[in-house]
Amino acid sequence: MATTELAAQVPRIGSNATRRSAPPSARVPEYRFMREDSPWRRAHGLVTSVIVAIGCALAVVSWVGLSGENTFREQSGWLVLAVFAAVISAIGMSVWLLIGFREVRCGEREIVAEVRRRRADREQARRALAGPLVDREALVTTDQMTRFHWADCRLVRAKAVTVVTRDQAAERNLQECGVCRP
Amino acid sequence: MDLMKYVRAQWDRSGAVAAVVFGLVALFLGWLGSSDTGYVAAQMPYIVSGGLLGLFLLGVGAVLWLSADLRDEWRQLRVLGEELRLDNELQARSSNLSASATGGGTG
Repeated sequence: MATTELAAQVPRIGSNATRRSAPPSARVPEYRFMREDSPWRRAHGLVTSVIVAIGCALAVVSWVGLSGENTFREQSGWLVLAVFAAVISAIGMSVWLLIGFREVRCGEREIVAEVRRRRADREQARRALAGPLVDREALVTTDQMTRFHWADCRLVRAKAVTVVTRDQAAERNLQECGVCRP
Repeated sequence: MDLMKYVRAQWDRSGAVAAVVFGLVALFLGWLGSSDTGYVAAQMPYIVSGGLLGLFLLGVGAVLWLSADLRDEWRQLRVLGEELRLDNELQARSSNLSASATGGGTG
Protein backbone atom coordinates (compact mmCIF):
# COMPACT_ATOMS: atom_id res chain seq x y z
CA MET A 1 0.00 0.00 0.00
CA ALA A 2 1.34 3.44 -0.87
CA THR A 3 2.48 5.65 1.98
CA THR A 4 -0.01 8.35 1.09
CA GLU A 5 -2.87 5.88 1.11
CA LEU A 6 -1.72 4.52 4.44
CA ALA A 7 -1.42 8.01 5.88
CA ALA A 8 -4.88 8.86 4.63
CA GLN A 9 -6.26 6.00 6.70
CA VAL A 10 -4.69 7.32 9.90
CA PRO A 11 -7.40 9.27 11.69
CA ARG A 12 -6.67 12.80 12.79
CA ILE A 13 -5.98 13.33 16.46
CA GLY A 14 -9.19 14.06 18.33
CA SER A 15 -11.42 13.12 15.41
CA ASN A 16 -14.49 10.97 15.89
CA ALA A 17 -12.77 8.14 14.05
CA THR A 18 -10.01 8.04 16.67
CA ARG A 19 -12.48 8.04 19.47
CA ARG A 20 -14.51 5.29 17.88
CA SER A 21 -11.51 3.07 17.12
CA ALA A 22 -9.94 3.30 20.56
CA PRO A 23 -11.25 0.86 23.16
CA PRO A 24 -13.25 2.64 25.88
CA SER A 25 -10.74 1.90 28.63
CA ALA A 26 -7.86 3.32 26.55
CA ARG A 27 -9.37 6.80 26.50
CA VAL A 28 -8.01 9.29 29.01
CA PRO A 29 -10.89 10.59 31.12
CA GLU A 30 -11.12 14.31 31.66
CA TYR A 31 -9.53 14.53 35.09
CA ARG A 32 -9.93 17.55 37.34
CA PHE A 33 -6.23 18.34 37.25
CA MET A 34 -6.48 18.59 33.45
CA ARG A 35 -9.26 21.15 33.65
CA GLU A 36 -8.39 23.36 36.59
CA ASP A 37 -5.28 25.32 37.49
CA SER A 38 -5.35 24.74 41.22
CA PRO A 39 -6.21 21.90 43.59
CA TRP A 40 -8.52 24.28 45.47
CA ARG A 41 -11.96 25.36 44.36
CA ARG A 42 -13.46 28.75 45.11
CA ALA A 43 -15.58 27.23 47.87
CA HIS A 44 -12.49 25.85 49.60
CA GLY A 45 -10.93 29.31 49.66
CA LEU A 46 -14.14 30.79 50.96
CA VAL A 47 -14.46 28.29 53.83
CA THR A 48 -10.82 28.71 54.80
CA SER A 49 -11.05 32.51 54.65
CA VAL A 50 -14.14 32.54 56.85
CA ILE A 51 -12.55 30.30 59.49
CA VAL A 52 -9.28 32.28 59.54
CA ALA A 53 -11.19 35.58 59.59
CA ILE A 54 -13.18 34.39 62.62
CA GLY A 55 -9.92 33.47 64.34
CA CYS A 56 -8.38 36.86 63.54
CA ALA A 57 -11.48 38.73 64.72
CA LEU A 58 -11.47 36.82 68.01
CA ALA A 59 -7.75 37.56 68.39
CA VAL A 60 -8.35 41.30 67.94
CA VAL A 61 -11.26 41.21 70.39
CA SER A 62 -9.15 39.36 72.94
CA TRP A 63 -6.26 41.80 72.51
CA VAL A 64 -8.53 44.81 73.00
CA GLY A 65 -10.21 43.24 76.03
CA LEU A 66 -6.92 42.13 77.51
CA SER A 67 -5.37 45.59 77.11
CA GLY A 68 -8.24 47.13 79.08
CA GLU A 69 -7.65 45.02 82.19
CA ASN A 70 -5.18 45.87 84.93
CA THR A 71 -4.52 42.54 86.64
CA PHE A 72 -3.45 39.18 85.33
CA ARG A 73 -6.42 37.56 87.05
CA GLU A 74 -8.80 39.74 84.99
CA GLN A 75 -6.78 39.19 81.82
CA SER A 76 -6.73 35.40 82.04
CA GLY A 77 -10.17 35.02 80.40
CA TRP A 78 -9.10 37.16 77.46
CA LEU A 79 -5.86 35.21 77.23
CA VAL A 80 -7.83 31.98 76.88
CA LEU A 81 -9.88 33.64 74.15
CA ALA A 82 -6.67 34.66 72.35
CA VAL A 83 -5.38 31.09 72.45
CA PHE A 84 -8.77 29.87 71.21
CA ALA A 85 -8.55 32.39 68.34
CA ALA A 86 -5.10 31.11 67.42
CA VAL A 87 -6.38 27.52 67.41
CA ILE A 88 -9.30 28.49 65.14
CA SER A 89 -6.93 30.20 62.70
CA ALA A 90 -4.66 27.15 62.74
CA ILE A 91 -7.65 24.91 62.02
CA GLY A 92 -8.62 27.11 59.07
CA MET A 93 -5.14 26.92 57.56
CA SER A 94 -4.96 23.18 58.22
CA VAL A 95 -8.26 22.69 56.40
CA TRP A 96 -6.78 24.52 53.40
CA LEU A 97 -3.70 22.30 53.38
CA LEU A 98 -5.63 19.09 53.98
CA ILE A 99 -7.93 19.84 51.04
CA GLY A 100 -4.90 20.51 48.84
CA PHE A 101 -3.16 17.29 49.89
CA ARG A 102 -6.36 15.30 49.40
CA GLU A 103 -6.95 16.64 45.90
CA VAL A 104 -3.36 15.99 44.82
CA ARG A 105 -3.52 12.47 46.26
CA CYS A 106 -6.77 11.84 44.37
CA GLY A 107 -5.07 12.98 41.17
CA GLU A 108 -2.11 10.68 41.80
CA ARG A 109 -4.44 7.75 42.44
CA GLU A 110 -6.29 8.46 39.19
CA ILE A 111 -3.03 8.51 37.23
CA VAL A 112 -1.88 5.24 38.80
CA ALA A 113 -5.27 3.64 38.12
CA GLU A 114 -5.11 4.77 34.48
CA VAL A 115 -1.62 3.32 34.02
CA ARG A 116 -2.68 0.02 35.62
CA ARG A 117 -5.80 -0.12 33.46
CA ARG A 118 -3.70 0.37 30.34
CA ARG A 119 -1.25 -2.32 31.40
CA ALA A 120 -4.15 -4.71 32.00
CA ASP A 121 -5.61 -3.84 28.58
CA ARG A 122 -2.31 -4.47 26.85
CA GLU A 123 -1.83 -7.74 28.67
CA GLN A 124 -5.34 -8.78 27.73
CA ALA A 125 -4.75 -7.85 24.10
CA ARG A 126 -1.48 -9.76 24.05
CA ARG A 127 -3.18 -12.85 25.46
CA ALA A 128 -5.98 -12.53 22.94
CA LEU A 129 -3.44 -12.40 20.11
CA ALA A 130 -1.50 -15.41 21.34
CA GLY A 131 -4.61 -17.45 22.10
CA PRO A 132 -5.85 -18.35 25.53
CA LEU A 133 -4.16 -21.72 25.90
CA VAL A 134 -1.04 -21.20 23.83
CA ASP A 135 2.23 -20.21 25.45
CA ARG A 136 3.62 -16.99 24.02
CA GLU A 137 6.91 -18.66 23.11
CA ALA A 138 5.33 -21.77 21.59
CA LEU A 139 5.61 -22.52 17.88
CA VAL A 140 2.28 -22.64 16.11
CA THR A 141 0.77 -23.18 12.69
CA THR A 142 -2.60 -23.87 11.12
CA ASP A 143 -3.72 -26.59 8.72
CA GLN A 144 -3.64 -24.24 5.74
CA MET A 145 -0.27 -22.63 6.49
CA THR A 146 3.02 -23.60 4.91
CA ARG A 147 5.04 -21.85 7.64
CA PHE A 148 5.30 -22.00 11.42
CA HIS A 149 5.35 -18.95 13.71
CA TRP A 150 5.83 -17.79 17.26
CA ALA A 151 2.48 -17.78 19.02
CA ASP A 152 2.47 -13.97 19.25
CA CYS A 153 3.30 -13.46 15.59
CA ARG A 154 0.94 -10.97 13.95
CA LEU A 155 0.34 -13.35 11.05
CA VAL A 156 -1.41 -15.89 13.30
CA ARG A 157 -3.42 -13.27 15.12
CA ALA A 158 -7.01 -14.40 15.78
CA LYS A 159 -6.50 -17.69 13.94
CA ALA A 160 -7.17 -21.20 15.19
CA VAL A 161 -3.62 -22.45 15.67
CA THR A 162 -2.07 -25.71 16.77
CA VAL A 163 1.19 -25.99 18.64
CA VAL A 164 4.01 -27.76 16.82
CA THR A 165 7.58 -28.65 17.71
CA ARG A 166 10.46 -27.97 15.36
CA ASP A 167 10.65 -31.68 14.54
CA GLN A 168 6.96 -31.78 13.66
CA ALA A 169 7.39 -28.67 11.53
CA ALA A 170 10.30 -30.32 9.72
CA GLU A 171 8.25 -33.50 9.16
CA ARG A 172 5.46 -31.43 7.62
CA ASN A 173 7.97 -29.42 5.53
CA LEU A 174 6.87 -26.18 7.19
CA GLN A 175 9.16 -23.24 6.67
CA GLU A 176 10.03 -20.52 9.19
CA CYS A 177 7.91 -17.39 9.17
CA GLY A 178 9.74 -14.47 7.64
CA VAL A 179 8.11 -11.96 9.97
CA CYS A 180 8.59 -13.41 13.47
CA ARG A 181 11.60 -15.61 12.50
CA PRO A 182 11.11 -18.41 15.04
CA MET B 1 16.90 36.52 37.46
CA ASP B 2 14.98 39.74 37.78
CA LEU B 3 13.65 39.93 41.34
CA MET B 4 10.27 41.40 40.40
CA LYS B 5 9.78 38.75 37.74
CA TYR B 6 10.56 36.06 40.30
CA VAL B 7 8.18 37.61 42.84
CA ARG B 8 5.37 37.69 40.26
CA ALA B 9 5.98 34.14 39.11
CA GLN B 10 6.42 32.76 42.63
CA TRP B 11 3.98 35.00 44.44
CA ASP B 12 3.06 32.32 46.97
CA ARG B 13 6.64 31.55 47.92
CA SER B 14 7.47 35.25 48.04
CA GLY B 15 4.45 35.78 50.27
CA ALA B 16 5.61 32.93 52.47
CA VAL B 17 9.04 34.47 52.92
CA ALA B 18 7.49 37.89 53.64
CA ALA B 19 5.08 36.38 56.18
CA VAL B 20 7.91 34.57 57.97
CA VAL B 21 10.02 37.73 58.07
CA PHE B 22 7.12 39.81 59.42
CA GLY B 23 6.33 37.05 61.90
CA LEU B 24 9.87 37.09 63.23
CA VAL B 25 9.75 40.89 63.45
CA ALA B 26 6.46 40.70 65.37
CA LEU B 27 7.94 38.15 67.78
CA PHE B 28 10.98 40.35 68.31
CA LEU B 29 8.87 43.47 68.90
CA GLY B 30 6.66 41.54 71.31
CA TRP B 31 9.70 40.38 73.21
CA LEU B 32 11.08 43.96 73.27
CA GLY B 33 7.82 45.34 74.63
CA SER B 34 7.32 42.68 77.27
CA SER B 35 10.92 42.83 78.44
CA ASP B 36 10.55 46.53 79.30
CA THR B 37 8.33 45.80 82.28
CA GLY B 38 8.32 43.26 85.07
CA TYR B 39 4.60 43.66 85.60
CA VAL B 40 2.85 40.58 84.16
CA ALA B 41 -0.42 42.38 83.39
CA ALA B 42 1.50 44.92 81.31
CA GLN B 43 3.33 42.14 79.45
CA MET B 44 0.17 40.34 78.38
CA PRO B 45 -0.85 42.71 75.51
CA TYR B 46 2.63 42.33 74.03
CA ILE B 47 2.42 38.56 74.32
CA VAL B 48 -0.93 38.52 72.53
CA SER B 49 -0.15 41.12 69.88
CA GLY B 50 3.52 40.30 69.32
CA GLY B 51 3.67 36.62 70.23
CA LEU B 52 0.41 35.35 68.81
CA LEU B 53 0.60 37.59 65.74
CA GLY B 54 4.16 36.40 65.14
CA LEU B 55 3.13 32.75 65.43
CA PHE B 56 0.14 33.39 63.17
CA LEU B 57 2.35 34.94 60.50
CA LEU B 58 4.83 32.06 60.75
CA GLY B 59 1.90 29.68 60.22
CA VAL B 60 0.71 31.70 57.22
CA GLY B 61 4.22 31.50 55.76
CA ALA B 62 4.33 27.72 56.17
CA VAL B 63 0.86 27.33 54.64
CA LEU B 64 1.77 29.51 51.65
CA TRP B 65 4.97 27.58 51.03
CA LEU B 66 3.21 24.20 51.23
CA SER B 67 0.45 25.53 48.97
CA ALA B 68 3.07 26.46 46.39
CA ASP B 69 4.47 22.92 46.58
CA LEU B 70 0.98 21.47 46.12
CA ARG B 71 0.39 23.71 43.09
CA ASP B 72 3.66 22.42 41.63
CA GLU B 73 2.48 18.84 42.16
CA TRP B 74 -0.84 19.72 40.57
CA ARG B 75 0.95 21.04 37.46
CA GLN B 76 3.04 17.87 37.40
CA LEU B 77 -0.15 15.81 37.43
CA ARG B 78 -1.36 17.80 34.46
CA VAL B 79 1.88 17.04 32.60
CA LEU B 80 1.43 13.32 33.37
CA GLY B 81 -2.17 13.49 32.14
CA GLU B 82 -1.02 15.11 28.89
CA GLU B 83 1.60 12.38 28.46
CA LEU B 84 -1.07 9.72 28.93
CA ARG B 85 -3.28 11.41 26.38
CA LEU B 86 -0.44 11.61 23.83
CA ASP B 87 0.42 7.96 24.49
CA ASN B 88 -3.21 7.09 23.95
CA GLU B 89 -3.32 8.86 20.61
CA LEU B 90 -0.06 7.29 19.46
CA GLN B 91 -1.35 3.86 20.44
CA ALA B 92 -4.57 4.42 18.51
CA ARG B 93 -2.56 5.50 15.48
CA SER B 94 -0.18 2.54 15.60
CA SER B 95 -3.01 0.03 16.10
CA ASN B 96 -4.81 1.46 13.10
CA LEU B 97 -1.61 1.32 11.04
CA SER B 98 -0.86 -2.28 12.00
CA ALA B 99 -4.46 -3.28 11.35
CA SER B 100 -4.19 -1.76 7.86
CA ALA B 101 -0.80 -3.35 7.18
CA THR B 102 -1.63 -6.90 8.36
CA GLY B 103 -5.26 -7.18 7.35
CA GLY B 104 -5.98 -10.30 5.25
CA GLY B 105 -2.56 -11.99 5.53
CA THR B 106 -2.48 -15.79 5.37
CA GLY B 107 1.10 -16.57 6.48
